[in-house]
Amino acid sequence: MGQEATVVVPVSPTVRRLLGLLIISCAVTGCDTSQTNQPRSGSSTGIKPSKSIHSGQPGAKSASAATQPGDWFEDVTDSSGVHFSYRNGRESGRYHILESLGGGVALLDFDRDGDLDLFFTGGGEISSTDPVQVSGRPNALFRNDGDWNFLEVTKTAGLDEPTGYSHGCTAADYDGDGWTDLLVCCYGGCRLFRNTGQGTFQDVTKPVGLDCPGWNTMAAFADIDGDGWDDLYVVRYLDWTPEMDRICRGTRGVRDICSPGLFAPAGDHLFRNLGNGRFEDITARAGLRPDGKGLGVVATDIDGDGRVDFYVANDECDNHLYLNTSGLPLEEVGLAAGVATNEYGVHDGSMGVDLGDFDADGRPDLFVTNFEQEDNALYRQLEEASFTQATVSSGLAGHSRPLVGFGTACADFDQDGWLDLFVANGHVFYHTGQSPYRQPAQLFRNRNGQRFENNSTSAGGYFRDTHVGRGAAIGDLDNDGDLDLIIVHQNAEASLLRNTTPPRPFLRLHLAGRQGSRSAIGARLSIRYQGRTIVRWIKSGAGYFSRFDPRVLLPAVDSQAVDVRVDWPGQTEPRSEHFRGLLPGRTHMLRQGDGEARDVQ
Amino acid sequence: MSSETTAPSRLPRRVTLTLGITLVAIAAGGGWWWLWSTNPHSLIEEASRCRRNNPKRAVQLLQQVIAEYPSADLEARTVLASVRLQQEAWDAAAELVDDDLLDNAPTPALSELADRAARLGRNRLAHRVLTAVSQRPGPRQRSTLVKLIASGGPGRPTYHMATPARTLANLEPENPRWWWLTVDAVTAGGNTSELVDVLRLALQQRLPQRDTTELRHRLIEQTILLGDATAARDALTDLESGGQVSPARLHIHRARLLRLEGRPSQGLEELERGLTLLARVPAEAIRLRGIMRMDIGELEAALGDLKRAVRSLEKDTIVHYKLAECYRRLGKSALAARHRKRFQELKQQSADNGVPPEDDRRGDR
Repeated sequence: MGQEATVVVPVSPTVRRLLGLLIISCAVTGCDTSQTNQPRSGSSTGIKPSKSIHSGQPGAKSASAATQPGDWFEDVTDSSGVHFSYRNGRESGRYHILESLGGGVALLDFDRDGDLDLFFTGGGEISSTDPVQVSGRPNALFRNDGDWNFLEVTKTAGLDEPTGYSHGCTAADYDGDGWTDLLVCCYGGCRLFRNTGQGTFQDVTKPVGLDCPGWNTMAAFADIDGDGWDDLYVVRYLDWTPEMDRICRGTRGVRDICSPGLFAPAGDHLFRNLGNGRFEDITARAGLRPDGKGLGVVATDIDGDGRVDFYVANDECDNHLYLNTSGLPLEEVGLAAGVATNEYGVHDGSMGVDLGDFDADGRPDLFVTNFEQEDNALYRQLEEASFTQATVSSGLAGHSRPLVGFGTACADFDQDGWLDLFVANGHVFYHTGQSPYRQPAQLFRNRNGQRFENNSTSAGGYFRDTHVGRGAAIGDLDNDGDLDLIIVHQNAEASLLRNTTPPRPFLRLHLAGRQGSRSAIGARLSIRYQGRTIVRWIKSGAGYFSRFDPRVLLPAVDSQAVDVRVDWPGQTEPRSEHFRGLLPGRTHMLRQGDGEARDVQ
Repeated sequence: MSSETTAPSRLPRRVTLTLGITLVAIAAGGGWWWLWSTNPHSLIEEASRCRRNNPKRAVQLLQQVIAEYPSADLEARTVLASVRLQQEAWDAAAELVDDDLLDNAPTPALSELADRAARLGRNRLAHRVLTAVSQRPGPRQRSTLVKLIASGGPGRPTYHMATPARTLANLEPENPRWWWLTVDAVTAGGNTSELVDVLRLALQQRLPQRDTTELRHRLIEQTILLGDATAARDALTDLESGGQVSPARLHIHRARLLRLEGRPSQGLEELERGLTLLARVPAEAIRLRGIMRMDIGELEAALGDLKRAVRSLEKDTIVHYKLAECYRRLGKSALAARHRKRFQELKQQSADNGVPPEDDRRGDR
């Protein structure tokens, strides 16, 4: 940092001689000292002193953020007890690209009390002094005590030690002991925490042999080989270190975060769960492409062949679709399937991704959030692993072009049987984006599977305000039969939004595999509802840096019993199983092979 | 008593007068010389006079000013930088030009420095100095701005020209030339929001009808690119009510807008109406129709359009990508693969030529 210095100007004898005359002259004429060579005030870069970023304390909400009649969501953060901010280290003033990604939230019932608890990644700090030190901030676990009361239990759960500069997180029962474990993705590694079943977690990263160097952003658990153990796909971003960072400026010369285009891709990793408490790195055998700058991933059976596939959203390079056709290597078919690029064949800056059947044709479609000046992309699946761009025909074109999309969720928020869309927005550039740093979130209502309608202004006060949104998760936090939202922000408190749409009959399903994956990731389940078939998939890794409610909510008609068909993942036949006479308003456990649902209300 | 008096010795009056005048003249001359020799501006003038035949002497004089006269330091440094350029001491010249000098040195000296730098091909330095001078209101500002824009050379304007062009447009708001220059320069920067702001500002001026109409066309195109359907519709209404407009272009605008609004079928109908009004339909319009037919699943018809378009647009990445997509959806995988391969080849060529992918990203929006 430069220091101010006092400059002593040498005065020549001639000048001294003239000084006397000058003084007299000044006395007569007056002197304008403004012409002297004073240093200019203000910054040479033209950057105004930045406003202080959020301290993490509850902030006053704008008038537009107030709840209005007809809103779909009510912001209940203040009264919930959840006060947590992801921090990106912006205070250092280094403008590292590391600051741009943000964090996420995982929904899991870690104590198996039937309520979804919340795990937030904490982010990290970047030193302002040289040499640059990147360090992690503690993550946070909030126990759901019901009725929108949460209690932070990070310390008692043994999760108070920083894991490293963290981004995404996910959860799964990797060791099959019936308790959901946690995985945190960090710059410099990933950390696996085993749920002991005693309300605590134990860091087992080293004992299980999970070595994931580099810049890990997100992960998805899924059983790729049908051996009953969930394997692990880890998404990585850039080959970057603080020493490699550059000074980047916008078109007007103002300093800002660099573009990922300046750095090489890191390439993803795949680990096989050996079932003996250890993981094996099978990246090379899996045939993963080295050219991905991954941020989002979703794992489920995309092409309907009974095996779990992966779709990876990459920033500033083609998105990848890995089909699991006959074991390893996986087959990357993104371009041939029509899901690698935008509608003109150009890659987008993709961030979040989710999957669902938007048009009720029984096939999963893909939705991807993208950078500004790009449309968020809806890829409609026409036949097995063959998609078409449906952004224009579905009415989604244009809405996202002024925004930078991150967290997303395909979810039926109003329980009408059609999947709606949520998008959390916020720029990565502090000063130099075409749109502001803080941006409104969006909610699109699915109109009969034909087109989407931008419902953001009547979605709730949160949607009428602006934020720097990143990770987001959906789940029924109050178990009232509709999906609530949790959104993580950059350097500001996460928000909890309670779904306030009119109550409707529902059916909640919890699937458990037996022959294949216990988490049943890749399972396809369907019901008949109002003359059409509604299909959902058990998926992993969807959204952005977050983990959704693993249970499935479906609409129902009053008290009519519902028949559910489940197509289980894995090679074992028969894959289809029917569960009949499920009553609405309850949570049903569907265990593979039982043929009968168990009421777990 | 006798008294002796001694008469004082006196010089003749004439001699005294002459001596006095001489002394005064000497004193005045000395004073003048003293003042002249200690006047930094005279030294700078002297340096300027002798710089051509005796640049060493000029450098010496200017360095003397810099050392002894802080008040004239900036002017002297500016002239010295110019002399250094004359001596082809490029680095020495560049080192003298700092922000302080650019902000505070006298305008005539800076203008001379910029001219010399431009003449000697030191374009970066010329541009820096011209930029500084162009920001100073005054009689030289307009000519400096014009020079600054000209320093960008022939060809498409670059984003660097946006600020001087905009300043010129503000100085002469009714001159359409400067507004178009601003529009083109901002277009080169790729910031659509900024471009829309410029177009709206230009449309507030009293410009010739022909320019106003064309600016409105651009505004519709850019608001569609921004994804702002409401603004695009407003701009379209303004254009429709604004006088003579090409009906074909209006139909094409409406088609694109309807596509943005998620109504591709109606958009296609509008496009068809527009194309029938054209004596010669450009390949880009045929490509757009093919894309819109793909939107609504009319794949065979779309294929016909894209095949027709690719005859004229053989090196167009979009048309090859859309052909590959169309063939894929029709189940013709070999043909799809062929066009996908060609698409990738062209994309690679663009990358090798330094064309950013963003240029293709907007496609036919």
